Amino acid sequence: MEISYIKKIIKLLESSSIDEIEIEEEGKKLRVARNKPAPMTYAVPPLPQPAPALPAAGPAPSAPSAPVGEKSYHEVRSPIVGTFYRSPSPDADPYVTEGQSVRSGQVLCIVEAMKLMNEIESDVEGAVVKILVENGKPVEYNQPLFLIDQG
Amino acid sequence: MNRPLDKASLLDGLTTRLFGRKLFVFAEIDSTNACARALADIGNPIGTVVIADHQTAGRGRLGRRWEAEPRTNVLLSVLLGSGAEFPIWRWTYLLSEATVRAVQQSTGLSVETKWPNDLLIDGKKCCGILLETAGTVDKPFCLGGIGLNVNQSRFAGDLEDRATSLRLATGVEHDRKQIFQALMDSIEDLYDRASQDGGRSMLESWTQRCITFGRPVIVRGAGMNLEGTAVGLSDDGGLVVRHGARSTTVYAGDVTISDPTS
Repeated sequence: MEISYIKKIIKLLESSSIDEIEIEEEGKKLRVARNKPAPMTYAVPPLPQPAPALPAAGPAPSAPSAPVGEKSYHEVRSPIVGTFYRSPSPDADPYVTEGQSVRSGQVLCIVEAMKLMNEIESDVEGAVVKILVENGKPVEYNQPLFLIDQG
Repeated sequence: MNRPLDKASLLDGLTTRLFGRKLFVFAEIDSTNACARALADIGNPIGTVVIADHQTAGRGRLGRRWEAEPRTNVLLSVLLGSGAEFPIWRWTYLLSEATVRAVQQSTGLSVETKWPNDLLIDGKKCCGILLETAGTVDKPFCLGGIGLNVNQSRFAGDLEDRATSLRLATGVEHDRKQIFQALMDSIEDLYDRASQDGGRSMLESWTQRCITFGRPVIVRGAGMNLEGTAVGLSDDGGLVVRHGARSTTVYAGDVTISDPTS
């Protein structure tokens, strides 16, 4: 793994709300964890929280690419927990539709959390094969959102 | 008299190091957030501010229209940087807390917050804040838009019961320059502290002001349909809502307090 790649992962972690990320690739394993501060204290004591907060829709995050039929496609995943939107506003056209070609860096959707609208970009060039989440639904961290055919 | 904003005047006496030092002033603009995004794309630094007397396409969450009388309010967007100092979501609370402090200092009004970042005076909204991220994983950035009702004298239709301005709350007009400078000061102060403690003290302070906690709430939209009691913030900034024996963390959606009178 290259240093620049590891740096990217660290940045991704820093800009997200997650504490830890583990990646295994070609037999090499990378684990990056945040230096956890002492638990925060708030005016209202937090309750014990059973179970994951939001229902996880769609396939569980696992491999870097997901097979559909014979072929394997690139997955674009959500870097944060939030709500998935396919367009900048309800009456606007969606950023992308299935079958559409996209370039690397093109905005695919928004994931909203705490009035922070996070634009999610494609990290590869290709064609959108499948949109895995319905507009307006909650998404989990690392949940696959799009399948991209890199040709 | 609502005088137009003037760049030299806004900068005169500004004592911040970062915030507002690089300033773009418009009599009219489509959206300050859109402009700030373009300014970020070409490499402008954290603290860069776009401020306008009038927005022709001001937007709130989900593209909701944001209307304001020209030359009455403080409508600005500010570049917030990359999230290297603390998790990017904390900016939503930092901007909310900073705006509360600026308003209280400038007017003496008592201001409360409603999750996630609205400002309320006597239960009516006086300020909306919307943040956006853009850029790439390599070079992410975040920007925030603040729309603070300062001297607006009336609100149309059903907004009248839900919206207010500093002028309506105090009965007198306020100097937008003074409020702008107070806001830049408070953002910078909170940013500097948050860079040291990760935003802990800011979140504690914000939490104290938030009227949502401990109240029965209804959450709608954003795939949510939930009734329960708001009990606090989760470690990743969501609103924890207890319903029956379960808790759900809400990250987006319309949260209504269902006992507004108590």
